[in-house]
Amino acid sequence: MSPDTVTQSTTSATRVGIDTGGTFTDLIAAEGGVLRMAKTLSTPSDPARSTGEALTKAGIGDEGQVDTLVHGTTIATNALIERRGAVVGLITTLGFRDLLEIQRISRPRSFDLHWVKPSHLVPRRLVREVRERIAADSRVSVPIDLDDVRRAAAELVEQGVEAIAISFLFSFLNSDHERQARAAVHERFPELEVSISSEVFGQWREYERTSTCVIDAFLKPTVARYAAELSELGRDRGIGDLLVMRSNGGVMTPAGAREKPVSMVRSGPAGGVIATSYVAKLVQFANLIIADMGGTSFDTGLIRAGEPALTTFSELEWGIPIAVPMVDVRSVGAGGGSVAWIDAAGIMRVGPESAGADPGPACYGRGGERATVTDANLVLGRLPHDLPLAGDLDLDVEASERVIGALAAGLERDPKEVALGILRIADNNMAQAVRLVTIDRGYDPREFALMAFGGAGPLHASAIARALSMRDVVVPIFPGAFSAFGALIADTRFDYMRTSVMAARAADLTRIQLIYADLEDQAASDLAREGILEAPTLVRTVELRYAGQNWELEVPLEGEPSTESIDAVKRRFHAEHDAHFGWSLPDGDLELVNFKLAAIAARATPELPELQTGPLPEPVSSRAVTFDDGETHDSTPVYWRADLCAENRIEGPALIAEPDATVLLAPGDRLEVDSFGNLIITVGGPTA
Amino acid sequence: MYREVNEMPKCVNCGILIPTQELRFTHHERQLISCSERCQRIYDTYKYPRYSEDIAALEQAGDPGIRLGYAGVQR
Amino acid sequence: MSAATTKSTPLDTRIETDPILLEVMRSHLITSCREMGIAMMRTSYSPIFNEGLDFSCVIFDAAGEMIAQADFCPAQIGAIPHVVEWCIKEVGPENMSPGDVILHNDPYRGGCHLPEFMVLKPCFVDGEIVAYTANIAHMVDIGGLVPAAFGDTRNIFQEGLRFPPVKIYREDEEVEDLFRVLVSNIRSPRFGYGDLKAMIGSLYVAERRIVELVERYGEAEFTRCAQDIKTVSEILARRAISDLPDGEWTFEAVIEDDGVEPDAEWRIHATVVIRGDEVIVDYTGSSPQSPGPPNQTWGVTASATYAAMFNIYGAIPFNHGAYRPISIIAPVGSFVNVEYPGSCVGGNSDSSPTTVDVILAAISEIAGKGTASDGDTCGILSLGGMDPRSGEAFAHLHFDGGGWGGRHDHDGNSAQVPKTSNCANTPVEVLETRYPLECVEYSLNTAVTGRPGAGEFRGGFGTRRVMRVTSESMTLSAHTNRNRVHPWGKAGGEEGGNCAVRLRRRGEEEWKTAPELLGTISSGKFANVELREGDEVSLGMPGGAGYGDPAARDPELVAEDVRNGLYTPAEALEIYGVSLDPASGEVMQAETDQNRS
Repeated sequence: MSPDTVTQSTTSATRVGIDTGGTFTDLIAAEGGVLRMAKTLSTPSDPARSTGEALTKAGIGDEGQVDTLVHGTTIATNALIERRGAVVGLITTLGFRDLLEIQRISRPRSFDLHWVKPSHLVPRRLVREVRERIAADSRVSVPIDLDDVRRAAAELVEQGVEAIAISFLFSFLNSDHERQARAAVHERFPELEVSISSEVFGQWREYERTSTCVIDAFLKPTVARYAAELSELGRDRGIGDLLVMRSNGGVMTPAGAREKPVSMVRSGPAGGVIATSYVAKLVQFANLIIADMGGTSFDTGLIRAGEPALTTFSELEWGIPIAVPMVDVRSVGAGGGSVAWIDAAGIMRVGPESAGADPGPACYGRGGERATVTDANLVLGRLPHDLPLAGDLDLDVEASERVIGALAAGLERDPKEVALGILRIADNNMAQAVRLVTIDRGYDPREFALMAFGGAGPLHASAIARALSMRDVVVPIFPGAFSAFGALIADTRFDYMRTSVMAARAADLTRIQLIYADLEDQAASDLAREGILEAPTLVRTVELRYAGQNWELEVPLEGEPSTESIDAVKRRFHAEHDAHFGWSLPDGDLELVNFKLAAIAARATPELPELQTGPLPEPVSSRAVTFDDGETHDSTPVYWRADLCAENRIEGPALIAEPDATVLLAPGDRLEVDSFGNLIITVGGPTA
Repeated sequence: MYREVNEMPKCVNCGILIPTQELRFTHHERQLISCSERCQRIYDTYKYPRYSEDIAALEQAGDPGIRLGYAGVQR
Repeated sequence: MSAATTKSTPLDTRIETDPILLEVMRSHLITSCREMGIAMMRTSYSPIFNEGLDFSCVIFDAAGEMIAQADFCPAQIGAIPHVVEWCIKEVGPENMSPGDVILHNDPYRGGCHLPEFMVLKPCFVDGEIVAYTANIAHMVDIGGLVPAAFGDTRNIFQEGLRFPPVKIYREDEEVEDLFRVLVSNIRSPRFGYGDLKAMIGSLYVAERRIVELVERYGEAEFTRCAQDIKTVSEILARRAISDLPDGEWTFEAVIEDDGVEPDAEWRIHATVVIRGDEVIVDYTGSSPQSPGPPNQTWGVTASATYAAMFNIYGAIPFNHGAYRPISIIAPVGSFVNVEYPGSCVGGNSDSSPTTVDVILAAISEIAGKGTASDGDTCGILSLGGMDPRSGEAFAHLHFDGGGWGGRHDHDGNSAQVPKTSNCANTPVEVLETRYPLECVEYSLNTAVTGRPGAGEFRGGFGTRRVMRVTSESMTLSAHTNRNRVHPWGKAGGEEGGNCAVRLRRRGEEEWKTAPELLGTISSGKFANVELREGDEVSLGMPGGAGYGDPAARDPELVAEDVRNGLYTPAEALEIYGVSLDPASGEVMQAETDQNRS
């Protein structure tokens, strides 16, 4: 974010970031120079309710107390994973009803006889073709038959569809037919949710565009319901600005989210990524691996050179693309609530099923009767349940012992051994996920530090790091509400792209200037609709290629479009092509293809309070804790995190407790507190 | 100078063309060519025992016998 | 280590290298191969590269054995160990200098067919070769009889330019004379040049990553890891084979019509011998080579064999070690090991899917992975001419997806390339932007002659594609299979569908075969017929065969297929004995039970 556009918050304004995960809803409030945290159990069926509860709990639930609220949520992600969304109908060009069945005809693994091709979200019977055709040169070759569209819509509604996706060939060049078709559908069914592919993903490749459009339509009713509930909450509580986290790490209004729900699919993890790149700059680890372990899932991704990775490519399942800009994060089903079970072969497994918030782990005393990762931690003494915990939960150790005992009886093993086994399996699952984002992409995890957050992250970080032979772990401030912190500091960000293929030799500067003027107008109006009137930071990039190539390389366009800046783009392209791909054709003809603009309106960032130095505080208690080697240390000291001072050093074994998370320091681990209160851990002892 | 592929030997067992570094071995008093020790072993333990009659017949008929993988005494 | 001295590894071999380091190294190498592929995809000119991904990227160790590959095209992956190994031997490492790149496409020297160009680059650290980066990619046009290569050729000389191993770069400089010879012999020189530069550039990308590794961990550690990577895979492969019962299994299928003798057939006969932890696949008994183009080279037959065995193995990191337990016997001069100067352009693409299925038919059942036959053709259409929009010549290679055979536990997938390939289709929007063609239809092939075989688990559907010519004139060639022979069913499943190439002149109603319309001798394999503006070609891809008795199919699945418009209610009754309520489409259980009893 650029310093010239930051406005410092006035002392009275309270700004709030909230993250609704599968288990907990976390809140961070900034008022003046003070940060506060609150945590409640999530209400997955009604995320607005737990948001309201979190506000109340933080003591800012009354009308007019909150100035700005940013909400990150996994609601869109969960709807996709569970495939619970709208019944979608697809209207497409005559002759192409089977695009979703055919997909790209390849497969994820070369040699797997048993691979079953995933089916898309629209069954064949809910696809209708209409007469229309845009040609490859963007001209209309067959005018659209709107009677076909009306008939198709009527039939689909008759069959019970709740949303319609419209995707025509070459609509990325000429969206006229898609717009007419939408209007025709709305004429007859004004309330029906409709997504058109040119708006959702205006790029070539009909399958990828259609897939993304269908997913957008699939999410529309879910996100519309959510946006309405959230807006209602905003009205009830007199919240000034209400915003939601988007997949690209920026924020937008609920109305904006409702327009384009597919931009919410990474809303949950985006907060953690933004917060990690912020703290990366404070702790001076430029390369970090995100280890966000909550109640339900484990999310991991990379921060390299301080910057989060963005991608426009992700998949619902293999072969089902979702093509929108988003933070590059991988999720696996491993969290505190992950359930341990015994499979048909008598082997113990952990997850991906989670007990979630309700009933939750057995120790929550809400009727959970199956052993979870949290129960295993509790049985091994790793959770100081005698200290005040978040969510007003009294953890029931006996319940944990009972369910783990039952599992142990089934396996004819010692309960402690089974509890350790649960953790070993869960830790290994998470280490594998980290492998996929590092080793699989050619990065050595040992050259990264692990940023551990989420309610359960700090408890498992040392073991995950050890499994990957990593040396450094960072536990940031407010680890249990870190994604909420990210929501609090995220900027408003809109990404735009216009395709206009032109030979670089004959690059039409006037045309490029017009494109950017147009995109900037669009940005200004989108930002104005978000209530932002000051000038945003504009980042322009151009995607270009050698004439004849099919894929482009993105190169920054520094400053305003001008003959000089375009020439610089061309020079940079040759150099980057050489650097990335090992060759270039300095005399080769270039084509400018896509003109991109990111409009970023920086929001005020709260100053993090600095911590004073001081002597190491006394432990608040001590307890018996069993570590991964099976050894029990009877008087493991427990420190209260809020007592710690800058530059304090602690050697393992120890526990550092705070209301929403516990840091486990294994024997041999060393911890140091930095000047902002982040815990920097050097993993010791034997490495795997 | 360039040597065309029809002037190169083929493995008596697997049938692969051997552009260079062929292995020569003696099998039942015949000089044979293989591409690897493994092929030599497979020829000895599988191919020859299984097809010895056919190989002998082909040899008698003056066929180079390579359809059964017999590379001939000399190329 | 060369194949000549390769010893098998005992099952109880212990790996001494730090397992984390080994995993880091192995993944780093595989990622480098992927990066090589991505560089090629992103910088190449022809859609068969940048959309179809018809290429394979590998890294070899200094011993000349494959240590890493990325999952792109299996047909090449199987041949590449031999091409690269033989190429290194023939040139000799002592004759290589830093910055050299070697080009090779000779089908008889371990290769697949002429269009598969292989480039190879030795990677030097401190003056020593530590590894080789290499890739094979399908060049769309290589001169020869027809644009985009697939014609009714009778010998190798008609098929295009052939390169024994030659240096195309010397010490980082293009060997300009060779480039000039090459591009002056192909129909779309600018595309050919760009594609070749993309292939070579990507070698440099991967080389940088290897040098990084060697510099970080040292050459000794790198070499040791390279050995262990292969050993681990070999042990896993041997274990997988040991799990199969010892014995011999035989299967035979035929390839129809070579485009020269349309009524003839060629046998692919395989005996699979499992002996402990190794397997011998013996093709003795296959037909002599054909006069036309469907012959397989040794490399193609090996690739198909490996592909089939890897489908049986399951998930094992595929490198040289995984090949060691597999021995192949391919009689010289037979259909599965064509001899110089026999033609072979079609073997790699369209005979090899049948070869894979022959082996799977022989042993998938004993491995507990029973499967019926796939559609087993790529449906290759070669198109060429002038694009009026650019004024440039073009050559386009078109292929599409058939149906997989039904499996013992699941229907076959619809619209998939055969198991010897893993190429993606070219999006309609890319196709029309790049070539003077309009795609009129792209759908599932529900025609009675093309649809999949019925079974408890039915085959998958193939695709149907209709394209219309938008330039004044272009030539069309076809190389397709299963126009007459059907994919075979298993365990009582019915046979699958046929492929169909049909043509229609502008303004005409009726679709005709090439012999009917143009007097060619074959309807599935023909070369250089002329199409004019507005003419259309239709390609119906075969559905896979069925697995198990159709009468055992879950009636609900039948009802679902009817709801989705894949079968009519009358067909549900006739084929599967399922009665559906005419109003609701629901299964009428009592009637169904009666029909089936």
